Amino acid sequence: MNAAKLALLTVCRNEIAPRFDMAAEVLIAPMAPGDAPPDPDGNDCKRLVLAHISSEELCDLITRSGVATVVCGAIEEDYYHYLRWKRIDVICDVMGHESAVLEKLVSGVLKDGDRLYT
Amino acid sequence: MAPASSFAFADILKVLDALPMGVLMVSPEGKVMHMNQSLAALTGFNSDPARGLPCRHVLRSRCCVAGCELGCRLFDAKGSTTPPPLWREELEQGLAALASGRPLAAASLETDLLTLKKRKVPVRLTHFPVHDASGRELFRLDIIEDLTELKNLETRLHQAHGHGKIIGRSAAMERLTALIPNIAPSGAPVLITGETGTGKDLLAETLHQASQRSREPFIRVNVSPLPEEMLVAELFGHTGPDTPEQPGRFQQASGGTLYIAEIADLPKGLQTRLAAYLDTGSILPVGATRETRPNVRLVTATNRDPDHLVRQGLLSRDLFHRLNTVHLILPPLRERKEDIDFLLRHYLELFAARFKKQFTGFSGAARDLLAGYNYPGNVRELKNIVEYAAMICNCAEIDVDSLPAHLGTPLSETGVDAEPRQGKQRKGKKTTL
Repeated sequence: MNAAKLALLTVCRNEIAPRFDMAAEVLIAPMAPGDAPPDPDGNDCKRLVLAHISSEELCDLITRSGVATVVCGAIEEDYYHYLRWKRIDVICDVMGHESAVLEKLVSGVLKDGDRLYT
Repeated sequence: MAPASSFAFADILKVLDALPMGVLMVSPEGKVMHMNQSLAALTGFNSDPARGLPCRHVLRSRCCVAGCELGCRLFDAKGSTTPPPLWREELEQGLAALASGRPLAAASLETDLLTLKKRKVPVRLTHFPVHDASGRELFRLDIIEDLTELKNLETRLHQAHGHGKIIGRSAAMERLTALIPNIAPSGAPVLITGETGTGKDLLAETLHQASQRSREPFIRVNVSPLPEEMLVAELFGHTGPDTPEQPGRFQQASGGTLYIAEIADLPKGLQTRLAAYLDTGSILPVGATRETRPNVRLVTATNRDPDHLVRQGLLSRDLFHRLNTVHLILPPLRERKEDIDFLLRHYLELFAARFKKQFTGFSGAARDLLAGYNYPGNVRELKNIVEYAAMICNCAEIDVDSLPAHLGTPLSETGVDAEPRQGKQRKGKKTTL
């Protein structure tokens, strides 16, 4: 089994939140390339409801949690570059349900601007 | 009413594309039907690939995500990866409805959107639901105006007018300003007290600017003499079965700071609601059945002694105790006279630049007169005095002649008399003229 890295999805009502700075909820999931995509509601994943909606607090959470990849919708340049500077991969402008996003992410094919609505 | 067939579909799209402001047409299900070229240029999206996507993912405005305050309840709308056919029929019918001259109910608010280039753009979003003759909603027309230039201008004006910073070098003011970095980041409610003109509004705005909410709205509420029911709707918003949801000041301040300028002017019923908000963090708009949590920091102020207001029954004890988490007291200018000279120089520089004049400073007599005055109107009055002097003085040095005449006379109506020595000086100077 490959070593799992953590991915953080900014979500809103089970889909990627349209804006990083307005996300009130995050889903932290282990990502091991080649493994089956994790169940967002399973024990492997952790869902956090944030006390405050704030880009700064979100960035703080991301850096403290040891997250390797962030998947989000729209993100402001400053926060994008800050996370990149912290060597965190940011896949932004993504639209779609969290399960579809996890599936593409674990397959290693998720990219900026993907629209995963069916 | 013009028949729908009189509109050439391609021409309609050409007209929309020629408009200088962004236009987004959204289906009743919340999917993008069409966006014009101005909006495509602003957001970075192309019109055709955006068609069929949920509007919140294309417009990406703050209000789309926080719960559309314009009455759009479309968050559950699912997008489609396959572009649907153009909603040709609905568009033509809608344009025919517009041409019939039927009035549209528009709602408008200031918000911001995030572009594909990751830039935050301040915009005004105006929202028109378009209905056919039977009242069925055909689509929603959103007009998006870029406010970047206006906001830049506003910032420059604020800087030029010295707003946004608290000035004072006295020990009392330094103690107060030293507290700001500690208080600002917390979300705790703040009560500011101080006489009129001491800078309560400025302090509230400074707290907002120094907080993590500084990029979010700062909404100031002046309690006007409206009936209590209207004030409740003004503050908490209202909704009804036949009317679209109207955001209140709380919704407008979402994520930011709500500043109530004179807390004791609020009716007691409203004070109870505010106390409940501070307890639970949620509000109930008028006519709504479900509470919302607006995430707003509450800053309030009064120019009277809050203990006295409580005893008089003008301020609810419950609210006072909840607001009193952080209580900042702005000292009157007469208790920090060491600031006067600094403030005089600061405002003289400011008004010299505004009136395009050059001053070396105040004469000794003028400085003595100004230093001895009691400033019942505090910093605001000092600022007005300097503005008046800078306006009428045509010399390099501002002398007593250029100061307002009332400085030399006792101010019995305010209960604060000017010192007699200063009055004599003023009179003496006048006699020499």
